[in-house]
Amino acid sequence: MKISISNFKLFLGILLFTINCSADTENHILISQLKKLSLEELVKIETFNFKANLPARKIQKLTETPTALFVITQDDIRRAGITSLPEALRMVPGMQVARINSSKWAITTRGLNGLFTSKLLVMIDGRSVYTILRSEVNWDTQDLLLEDIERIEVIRGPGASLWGSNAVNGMINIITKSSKDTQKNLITTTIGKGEENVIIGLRHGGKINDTSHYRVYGKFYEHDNFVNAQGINQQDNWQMKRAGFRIDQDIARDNNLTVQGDVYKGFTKQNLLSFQTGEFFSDIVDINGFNILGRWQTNNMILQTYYDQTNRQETLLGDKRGTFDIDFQHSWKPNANQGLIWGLGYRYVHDDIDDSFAITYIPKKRQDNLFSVFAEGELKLQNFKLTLGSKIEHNDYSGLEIQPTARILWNKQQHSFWGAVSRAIRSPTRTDKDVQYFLSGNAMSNILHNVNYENSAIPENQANTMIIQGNIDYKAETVLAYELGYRFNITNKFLLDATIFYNDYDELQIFQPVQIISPSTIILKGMNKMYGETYGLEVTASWQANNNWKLISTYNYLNIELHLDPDVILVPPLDDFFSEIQEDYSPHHQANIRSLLSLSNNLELDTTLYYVGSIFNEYVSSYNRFDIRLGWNPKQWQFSFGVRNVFDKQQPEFNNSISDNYILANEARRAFYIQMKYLF
Amino acid sequence: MFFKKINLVLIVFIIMYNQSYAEVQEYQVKAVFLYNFANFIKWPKNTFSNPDTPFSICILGDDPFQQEIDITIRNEKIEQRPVVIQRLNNLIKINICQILFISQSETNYLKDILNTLQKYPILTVSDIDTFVIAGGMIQFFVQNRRVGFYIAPDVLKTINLEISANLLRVAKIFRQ
Repeated sequence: MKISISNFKLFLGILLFTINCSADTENHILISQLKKLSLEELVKIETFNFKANLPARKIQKLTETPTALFVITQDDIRRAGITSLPEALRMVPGMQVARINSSKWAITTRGLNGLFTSKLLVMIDGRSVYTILRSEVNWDTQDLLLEDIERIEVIRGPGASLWGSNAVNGMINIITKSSKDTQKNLITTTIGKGEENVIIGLRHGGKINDTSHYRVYGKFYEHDNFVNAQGINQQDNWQMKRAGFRIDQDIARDNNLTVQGDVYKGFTKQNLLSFQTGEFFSDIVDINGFNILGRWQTNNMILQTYYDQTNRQETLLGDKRGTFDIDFQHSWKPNANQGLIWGLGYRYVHDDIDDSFAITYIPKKRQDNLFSVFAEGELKLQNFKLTLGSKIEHNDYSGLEIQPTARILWNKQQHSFWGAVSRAIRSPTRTDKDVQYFLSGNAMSNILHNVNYENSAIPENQANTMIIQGNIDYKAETVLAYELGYRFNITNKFLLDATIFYNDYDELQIFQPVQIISPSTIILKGMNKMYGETYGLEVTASWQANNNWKLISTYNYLNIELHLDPDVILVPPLDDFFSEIQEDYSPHHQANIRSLLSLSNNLELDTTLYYVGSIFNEYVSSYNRFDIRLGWNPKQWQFSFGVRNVFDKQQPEFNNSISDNYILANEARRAFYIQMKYLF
Repeated sequence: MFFKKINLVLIVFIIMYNQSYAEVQEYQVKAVFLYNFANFIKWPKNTFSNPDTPFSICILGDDPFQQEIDITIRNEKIEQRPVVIQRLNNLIKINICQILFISQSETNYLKDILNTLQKYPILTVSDIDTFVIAGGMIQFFVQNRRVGFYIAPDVLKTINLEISANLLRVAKIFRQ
C-alpha cells in the first residue's frame, strides 16, 4: 500500500484543524455564555486565578497542571486566623502538620514524618530554606509579614525534575506580592494567649519613580509556652525580630527586576537531652541570619541569584551556614502546541560547625558545590498534553543524580485526568556523612524509658553506651512515584480534585550495629538498608455555595509499609528503633472542613474543623481541632477575634520519633487571639 | 441500583451547573465588557461617515485580549453595523475608532494619548490604574477576582456620548 503525499497533507491539515478548533470552540462557548449575562451578573463573575508557577516553572492554570497542586491564597490565610507559616499548611490536603514543641514542627506530606522530615522541599520566593545540615526546615525562622504573601503553592509528590533533589514527597513555594501591590502602609497587631503572645508588624510601601516601587517591613513575634502532659507550663517560649525590604522595577512590559532581602534575630527554648546524664535540661537556641535575592524576569527568561546566611547556636551543636545560589531558566515556544523550558543552576554552601563531645562533626568546616541542568518539553495533541523532563545534578554528597518525570494530561471542558511517573532523590546530608553522636548508658536508658519502650529486656540504668556514626559511603534515598489524578471544575463554583499515588522507596536510611566494642558499647552506623512502599488518596472539594458562603473540605488516606534488607542484623533493644517504626509516624486518615461565611456589615464568620487520625508509634490518639474566627472589616480597619482548638485545653500532636527524641515534646494549647490591622 | 442513584446525582449536578463558565479569565470578562459598552452607550449621529462603515473597537499597544476579543465580536452587530477589531501601534488612524482600549504598555504616554483624543467621539477604556484620574472615561479594576469599572460621566458628556442608566448602575462613578 502506498500513502500519497497529498493524502498525508490532508490528514495533517485535518489534524491541525481539529487541534485549533477544540481550544477555540471551548473559548467560544465560554464567551457566548458570558455575553448572555446582564451587566449586574457580569460584575459578579469571579475570574480564575487558581494558577501556580511551581508545577512547570511558568504560570499555569490548574486544569493544565498534571500535578497534585494546592494553592493557599492570602484570603485563605487571613480567614483561617493563621499567624505563622507552618500553621497555614494544615489546610492543605494530605499535609501532616504536627507540633513537637512551641517552636518545632514535624511537617510533611505522603508520610515519613519527623523533626528532620528530609523529603519536603520548601522555598520562599524561590529561595530554598531546606537545610542540608540535618535535612530539616527550621520553621521557627521561616516567617515574614503574612499580609505580604500573595499565595503559597503546594505540590504533593515529586517535583525534582524541575527543582532538584529533596523534592521527594512534596514541595512548597511561598510567593510574596510585588511591592507594586503593597503600596499602602500597614500596622498590624495580634495579642494572644496559648500560641502567639504578641505580634507587631509594620509595613511602608512607596514609589521611587513611575516604574519602581518598594516596601519595607519590620516584625516582632513572641510565642507563648506550651505545656507538658500534666498541663504544667514548659519553658519553651520564643521570640523573633525581623525586617526586610523588596524593590520591583518594571523595565518594560514583561521585563521586571526584583531585589529583596530579610534580616532576623531571635531565640527559641527547648528541653534538650543531655547525652551524658540522660536528664533533660533547658537550652536556649540563639538564631540569626539574613538573605538577599535578585531576580530579573522577562517573558521567556528568569535569572535569579541569592545569598542566604543562617546561624543557630544550641548547647550541643552550633551551625553557621551560608548558601550562594544562581539559577537561570529560559523557555522557548515555537508554536501553541509545543514548548520547551530549560535551565542551569549552581549552588555553593559553606558551613562552620561548633560541635561538642556529644555531637562531633569531621570536618568542622565544609564547602560544597551543586551543579544542575534541567529541561522539560511539552507537547499538546488535541485534548492531550504530554510533558517529559529531567533534572541532572551533581552534588558533593552523592555525585551524579538523574531525576526524570513523564506526565500526561487529558482535559476537556470541566474534566481533566492526569498521570505521572517520576523519580526523585533525597540527597545525603552533612549529618548523614560526617557526624558522630556519643550517648552514655544513662542517656540511652532514659530514651528507652521516655518512649515507653516496653519490650526492652535491659533494665534501666544498664543500657549500653552508644556511638552513632554517619557513613561516608551513604547514598541518596530514592523514590519512584506513580500518580493518577482527576479534576472536575465548574466556574470556580465547584471544584473536585482527587489524587491517588503509589511511592516505591529504596535506599532508605537505618542505623545498624556494626561493632560491639565491649559488652556495654555499641557502634551504630547509618546505612541505606531499607525499602518500602507508601500509597494513598487525597481529595479536595471546594464549593462556593453563594456569593457569601464558601465551603472547602479535604480528606486523605495514607499507608506506609517499610522493609529491612534481608542482611540487616539488629541487636536488642535496638530492634526497630531506627527502622520500620517510621511506618507509624503518620496518621492513616486526616480530614478538614473550612467554612467561610460573609455576613452583612462587613462581618465574617469562619470556622475550621480538623481531624487527625491516631499516630500509633507517637502515642498520639486521634483528635479533632476546631478553630473559629469572627472578623469585622470596616473600611481601613480589620479586626479579628478567634479561638483555636476550642474543644481541648491541650493536645499532643507529636511525641518525637525515637530518632530525634533528644528534644522533649510538649503539647499545644487552646489559644485565643485578637488582631487589629490598619491600612493607610 | 447504586449506579442508577449515582447517575441521577450526576444528572442533577449537570443540570444545576449547566449555566457554567469553566475557568473564566480576567481578559475574557474584560473583552465581553468592552463589547457590551457599545450597547449601553450612544454615539453622536454624525460619527459614521457612510452607512457601510463598520463599528471599530481599537486596541492601542500590546494586546492583552489575544483572540478573546475577536471571538467576542464574531458575527455581532452594533447599531446595525458589523464590528471589527483594529490593533494600533500609533494614533495616525485613530479617527476610525469608536472604542479605544489603551493597553498598560502605553502607561508612560497616557497623557499625550488622552490629549490627542480630546476632540474625537471615541470612548476611551483602559485598565491602567490612574486612567480616570488622568482624564480617561472607563477604567477597569479587579477586586476579589471580579472585574468592575469606574466611569467618568463628565468626560463622556464633553464629546456627546450618551450613557445608559443601566451602565451607570453597575459602575463606580468617578468625578474630578
